[in-house]
Amino acid sequence: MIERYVAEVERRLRLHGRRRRRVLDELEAHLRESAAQAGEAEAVRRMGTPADVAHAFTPRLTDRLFEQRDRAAALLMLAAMAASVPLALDLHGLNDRAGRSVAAYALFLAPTVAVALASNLMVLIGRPLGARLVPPLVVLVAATAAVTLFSLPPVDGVFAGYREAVSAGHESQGCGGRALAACAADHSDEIRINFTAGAIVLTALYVWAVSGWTPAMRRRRRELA
Amino acid sequence: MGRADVTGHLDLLLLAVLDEAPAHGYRVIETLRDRSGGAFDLPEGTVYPALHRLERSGLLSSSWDDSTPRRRRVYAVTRQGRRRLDGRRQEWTGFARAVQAVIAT
Repeated sequence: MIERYVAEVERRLRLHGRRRRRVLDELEAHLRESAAQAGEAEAVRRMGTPADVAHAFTPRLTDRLFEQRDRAAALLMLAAMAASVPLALDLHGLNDRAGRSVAAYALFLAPTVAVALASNLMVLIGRPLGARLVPPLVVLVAATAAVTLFSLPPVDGVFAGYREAVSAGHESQGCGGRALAACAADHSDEIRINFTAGAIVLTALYVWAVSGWTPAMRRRRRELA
Repeated sequence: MGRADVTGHLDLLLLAVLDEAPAHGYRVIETLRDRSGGAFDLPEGTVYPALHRLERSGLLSSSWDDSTPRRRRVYAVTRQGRRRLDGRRQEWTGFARAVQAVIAT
């Protein structure tokens, strides 16, 4: 009876590979344990119908997506960092033309990028280190955002170089008929503000997805304590 | 309490049982049934999907135990699972207190 039951579950089960094998082995082990106490008929009755059991192991797409939200957030952050590389190269090129170095800015950004990369990769391969790196990542992103938004060193040098290069006509795309200096100032402000806002929003999403933390949760826990 | 109400709290119940000691699925189901005086007598097939889901969420870990004649999959609560359990316990205690305050005569 147990073999027939497990075969029926196997026929209906929408899982593959190791997970499928594991589910079937566990169910059979459970049924045999239960049968040793109460007999095969009772063991099978208590388990539920094969259709119900097989269906219970097939989660809805939305549930699967929600369960994988940490990996999705990690992929999104990696994609955003990759998408930022052309801008970084552009800034480097323009600063080079203006006779300025971006090495100090690159060194400043390096810890944030390194921690973000490490956290994303660990989350993608399912290691707890990914979540443990979230607090230092938040601190680094906050520091980087503050320095960038308020145009503090070494960020100020990078955007000064950008403005000089644009004002000298090395990069005038999007300036139309405007004075290059004003255009350069606007563009540099847009880059600073938009990318910082994007980094903050993306980091907040990553924090929620990986740790499940929200300010409301913290307030609720304090109220219940 | 109806079966639908219990399955809504199944995660909390499973984490609480496994927090005491690692156990295989059959033992978990027995413990739930015994400690609730038979109130939580769920179809046993509903428990394994929940255990698997909790493991995929990082709240449980599991491994095969080959030390007994019958091979079993043993589950244990992770540190993340313990944190989640503490949070859910607090939420449940607060909720139960509030309900009791409202329905008490």
